[in-house]
Amino acid sequence: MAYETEQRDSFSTVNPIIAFVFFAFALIMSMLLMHPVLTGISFFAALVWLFLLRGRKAFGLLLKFVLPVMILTAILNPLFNHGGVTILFYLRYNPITLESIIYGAASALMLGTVITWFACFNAVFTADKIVYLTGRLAPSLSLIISMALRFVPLFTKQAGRIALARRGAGSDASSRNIFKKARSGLSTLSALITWALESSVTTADSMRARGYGLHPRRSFANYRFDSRDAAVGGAIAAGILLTGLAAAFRVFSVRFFPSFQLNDFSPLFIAACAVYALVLLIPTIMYLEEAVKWRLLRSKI
Amino acid sequence: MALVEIQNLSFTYPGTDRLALTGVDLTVREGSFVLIAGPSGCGKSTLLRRLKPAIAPYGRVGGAVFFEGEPIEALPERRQAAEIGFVMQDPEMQIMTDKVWHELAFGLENLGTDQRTMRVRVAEMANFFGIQSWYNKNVSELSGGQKQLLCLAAVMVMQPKLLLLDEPTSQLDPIAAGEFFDTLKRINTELGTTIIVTEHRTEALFPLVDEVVFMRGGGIFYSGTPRSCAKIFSTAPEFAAVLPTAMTCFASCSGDNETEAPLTVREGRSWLEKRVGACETALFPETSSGGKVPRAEKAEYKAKKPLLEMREVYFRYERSAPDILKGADLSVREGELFCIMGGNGAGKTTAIMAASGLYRPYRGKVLFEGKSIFSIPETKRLGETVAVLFQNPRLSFVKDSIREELNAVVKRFKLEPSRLDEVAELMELGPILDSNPYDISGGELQRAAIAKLLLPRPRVLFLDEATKGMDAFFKARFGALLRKLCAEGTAVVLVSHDIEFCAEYADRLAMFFDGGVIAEGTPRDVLAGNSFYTTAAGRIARGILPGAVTANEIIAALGGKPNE
Amino acid sequence: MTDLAAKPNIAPTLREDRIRAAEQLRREQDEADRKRARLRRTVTAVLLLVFVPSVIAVGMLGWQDRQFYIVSALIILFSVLPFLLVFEKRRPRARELTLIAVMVALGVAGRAAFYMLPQFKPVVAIVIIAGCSLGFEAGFVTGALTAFVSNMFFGQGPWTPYQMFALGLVGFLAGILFRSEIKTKLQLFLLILFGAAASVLVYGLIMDSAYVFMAGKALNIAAFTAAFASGLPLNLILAGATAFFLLVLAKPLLNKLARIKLKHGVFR
Repeated sequence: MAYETEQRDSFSTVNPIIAFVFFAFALIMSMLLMHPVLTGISFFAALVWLFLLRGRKAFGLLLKFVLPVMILTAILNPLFNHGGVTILFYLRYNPITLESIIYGAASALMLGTVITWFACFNAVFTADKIVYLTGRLAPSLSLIISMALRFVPLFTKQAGRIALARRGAGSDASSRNIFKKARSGLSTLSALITWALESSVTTADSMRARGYGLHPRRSFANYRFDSRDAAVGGAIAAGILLTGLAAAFRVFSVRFFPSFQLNDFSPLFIAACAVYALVLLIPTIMYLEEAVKWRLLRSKI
Repeated sequence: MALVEIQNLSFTYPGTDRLALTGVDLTVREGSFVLIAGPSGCGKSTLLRRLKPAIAPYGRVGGAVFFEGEPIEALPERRQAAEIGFVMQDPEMQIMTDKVWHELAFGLENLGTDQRTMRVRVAEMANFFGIQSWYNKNVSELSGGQKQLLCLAAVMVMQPKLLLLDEPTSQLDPIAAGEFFDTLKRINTELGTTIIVTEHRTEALFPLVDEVVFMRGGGIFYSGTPRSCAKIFSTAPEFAAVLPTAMTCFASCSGDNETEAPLTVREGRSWLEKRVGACETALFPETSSGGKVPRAEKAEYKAKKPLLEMREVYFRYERSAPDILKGADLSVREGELFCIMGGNGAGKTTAIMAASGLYRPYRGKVLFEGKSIFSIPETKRLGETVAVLFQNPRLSFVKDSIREELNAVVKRFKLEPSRLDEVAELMELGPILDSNPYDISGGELQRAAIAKLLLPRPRVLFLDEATKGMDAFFKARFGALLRKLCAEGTAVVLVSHDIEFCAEYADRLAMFFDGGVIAEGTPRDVLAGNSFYTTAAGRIARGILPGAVTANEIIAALGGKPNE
Repeated sequence: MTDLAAKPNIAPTLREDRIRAAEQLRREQDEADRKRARLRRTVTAVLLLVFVPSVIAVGMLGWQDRQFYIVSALIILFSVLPFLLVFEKRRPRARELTLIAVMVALGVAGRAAFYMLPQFKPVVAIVIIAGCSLGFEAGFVTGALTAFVSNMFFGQGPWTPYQMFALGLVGFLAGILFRSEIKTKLQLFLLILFGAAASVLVYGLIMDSAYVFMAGKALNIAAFTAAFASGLPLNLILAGATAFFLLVLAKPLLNKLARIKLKHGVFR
C-alpha cells in the first residue's frame, strides 16, 4: 500500500507540493467537468499511469475494485433517476430513459476515473510525503500522524508478542472455539492498550526533553525544490489556466436532461482537449522520457 | 570549569515523606565522562532527571543545581532543550516519528532552526553515527541497538553541552551495548561533550570514564577516578559486584596498595601473572586437568533421567523461510538450572519455542519424561507442565495490581487460594503485591511474572533473557531465588546473553551457534577454554589459572576471601 | 507552565510560599482554560451540528444541476479543517499529542487486527472512548485522524473526507455527552446505547450518503432510502461491534486513561 511502495517513477520524485497540486487538479477537473470526452481522457491518463506504477497489480485493482463500483453506479442511476425525454421502457411502472442511462454511464466513468486517480495517489504519496505536506499546514497534526504511523506496526508486533506470552504462561491455549478465540483476542487487546498507554508517558517525556512546545516550530523539509520541480510546476499551472479559461468560456458543455446534448467538436474544443490530455499525461510522459534516457545511456556503454 | 554543580540537593516525591535524594553534592567538570552506579532505587535516575528540568518529576526540592553557574530552573527553555540532552532506557517508545530522518530532525524542528542549518546538522550527525545507510528507513525496520543509537543521535543534533543517559543499554544485548559505549566515548573525546551516565554494565564502562560516582539510599557514597574505586571495597563490600572483575580480584586478594588497581582484562592478566608467580601455592587442584570434568561426575549426571529432551530438532517459522534450528539436541534434568547461551540469531529463543511445545518442529523429537510433549493436550502442556516467560514481562500484565493478576491465574487453574501466598513468599513479593505492575522496577516485575507462572506448578520453567536490565545487586538475589526454585524440584531453563550470570549460577550450560548446540556441560567445562566467549574472569585466568571462570574462583585460588 | 516549585531556594519558608503561588497560578490558568474550552465547545457544536448540515441542505436544493460530490466534499473538507486548525492553533501539549496518537494507532491497528470480520471493528468504540476521556476536541481529532491514517494503509479515496468527518463527529459527540468516568451501570448502558446509535445514525448515515453523492446527482429520497437500506446490515454489524467493545473495554480503558492522565500530570 501507500505506506511501503517506492517505485522508480519519475513523477514520484517531484516535490510533494507540486504533486499534490497535480492530483488536486486531476481530481477536481474529473469531478467538475462531467463531459464524456474529457472524462474519457482523464480515465485513460489515470489508467496508463496506474499500469506504469503498479504493473500487473493494477489489473487486480481494477477488476476487484474499480469495475464493480462502475457497474453498480451505471445500473443504479437509471433506476432512481427518471428524468429525460426518451423513454425506453418501463420497469415496475417506472420509466427508464435513455438520458438517465447515458448519465449513469457518465457518472460511472467519472467515479472510475476518480478512484483510479486515487489509486495512483496512494502509490505516489508515501507516508513521508503526507507527513511533509501536513507538516507545512498543521505541524501538530502532522506529528500525530507520524507518531501513529510509528505506533501501528509497533503495536501490531507487540500484540503478537503478548499473544505468545499468554500462550507460554498457559493463559490461553490456542483453540478452535470462536468464543474462546474472541476472549483471548480481547485479553490481548486489553494488555496491548495498557502497555501502549503506560508507555506513552515515555514518548511525551522524550518529546519534551527535545524541546517540543517551543515557538516557533519549523518542519524539516526532506524534499528540495529544484529546477525540474519548477518546470513541472509551470507546466501544470499553464494547464490549469488554459483548461480553466476553456471551461469559463464554455468550450466544453454537456447537458444530460431533459435531452442529451454535447457541444460541437470545434477546433477550439479539440485544442482544449489536447491541452487537458497533455497536462494529465505529464507523469506518463516523464516516466517514458526517463525510460528512453536509460535505454540510450545503456546502448552507449 | 564546572559545568554542573549540585549543592546539597534533596528531593521528595509527592505523597511520601521518604527522601529520594538526601543532600547530594557533586561537581561535574566540563568535558568529563561520569558514571553513576548503584542499586535500583538508589536515586540515580531521580538525580539525573533533576538535571533536566523539562522532565524532572514534580515534588519537593531542596538545595540547588547550577548549570554553567546559573540555577538550572532559571535557564531559558530553549537553552535547556538544546544544551542538555537526555536519553532514556527504552528506545522503543522514545522514538516518536516513523522515519529515521524525521526523528533526527525533530529536535531541530522544535528549536525552529532554519532549513539549511537543519540539513547540515542532520547530515553531520548521520555521518558521525554511521546512519547514512538507514537514513531513509522506517523506524520499525531497525534493530534494538540501532534504535538506541538513533535516540542518541536525535539528541546530539541539538549539539548539547551536557548529555545525560539513564541506563541506556538496559534493553540491548552485550554487543550492541559495547558499540553504544564506544559511540559515547567518541562523543566525549571527539566532540568534547560532557556525559553523565547511569548504567548497570559497569564492566565495560569503567575503563572509559573519568569519574565514578557510587550512590546508595539517595546519597553519594563515594566518587573518584575509576582506579581509585578499589578503595571502596574494604568499606562497602556489597559494591564488589559493580566493580570490574579484574578490580574485584585485585581488591579482595591484595593487601598491597602500592600497585595500581587493574581495570581491564589485559591489566588483570598481567597483575594475575605477577601474583601467581609470586605465590607458589596458588593452585587449582580440581581443575588442573585443564578444564575437563572428572569422569565420575559425568557418569553420575548421565545416570539421572532427563526430564525434558530435544533430539535433533529442525525448525523454521515458514516453509520458505530458512531453518532456525538445525538438529538441536538438549536434555534438561529435574531441578537443575540450565542456561542456553549464544549470540544474536543463534536460535536460542526459537529453541525455547520448540522445547516448550509452543511450536511443533518439522523434524526431530521433543520428549517430556520420555514421551512426546505434543501427546500432552495443549491446555495441560502449557502452564502446568512447562511455562515460558518471554522478554518484557510487562506485556502480559493487564490488571491493576499484582495480587489481582495472580488471583486470576489461581482462578483459571482452579488452585487452592493458599497457593498464592506460598508463591508470593517464595518470590519475595510481599511489599509489591498490591502495586500496579507499571509502578514497580524491572527486577521486581520479573519476580512477579515468574510468580505468575509458578502458580500452577510447572515442572519446567523457561525464562528468556530474564536478567536483562537487572542491576548487579539484584542479579545476585535473583540467582539465589532461581537456585531456591531448583532446589524445590523445578527445572529452570534460562536463555541469556549474560555469561557472567550463567557462569555463576548455572548447573549446566549449552552454547548455541547457527541453530545447534556446539558445547554442553558444566560452566567450567564449556567456558574455561574459550578465549572470547567466556566471562571476564575466564579471560583473565586463561592459561594462568586454568579452569577458573568466576571472580570467586580466582580469588579462592589466590587464597583470598570469596565475596557473597 | 514553568515549574516554580522546583526553583532552588535556601530558606524553606520562602519555598512554601512559592509552591503555594505556583499552585494558585495553575488553578487560575486551569479556570481560564476551562472557560475558553466551554466557549470553543459551544461554537464547535453550533458549527458541526447546525451549520454544516444546513449548508449541505441548501446546497442540495440550490445547485440541482451541479456535481454533488464535489460540493459536498468541499463542504465537508471545509468543516473538518477549521476544527483541526483550531486544535493546531492551541499548540497542544506533548502528552495530549501522544495520547491521541496512541488512540489513533490503536484504532488503526484494531481495524487491521479484525480484518477477517467485515465491519466488526473496534474503531468507533475506541474513538468514543477517546472522546469521553480526552474531551470533545481531542475526540474529534482522534476520529478524523484515525480515518485518515487508516486510509494511508488501506488506500485513500473519495470517501476519505466523509470518513474523517463522520468519525470526528462521533468522537466530538462522545466528548460532549459523556464524562471521563463510568461509575454506574446506567452510565455504561447509556454509553453503549450512544455507541450503537452513533454507528448507525452518524457514521453509517454519513457514509451511505457519501456514496449517493459520489455516484451521481440522482438526489431524491428514493436513492437515499435505497442506499441506507442496503447499508443497514453492515451498519448494524458495526453497531453491534461498537456496543460489544464498549461493554468490554469502556470501563477498564477509561480507568486506565484516568490513571495515565494523572501519571502524565504528575510528571507534568
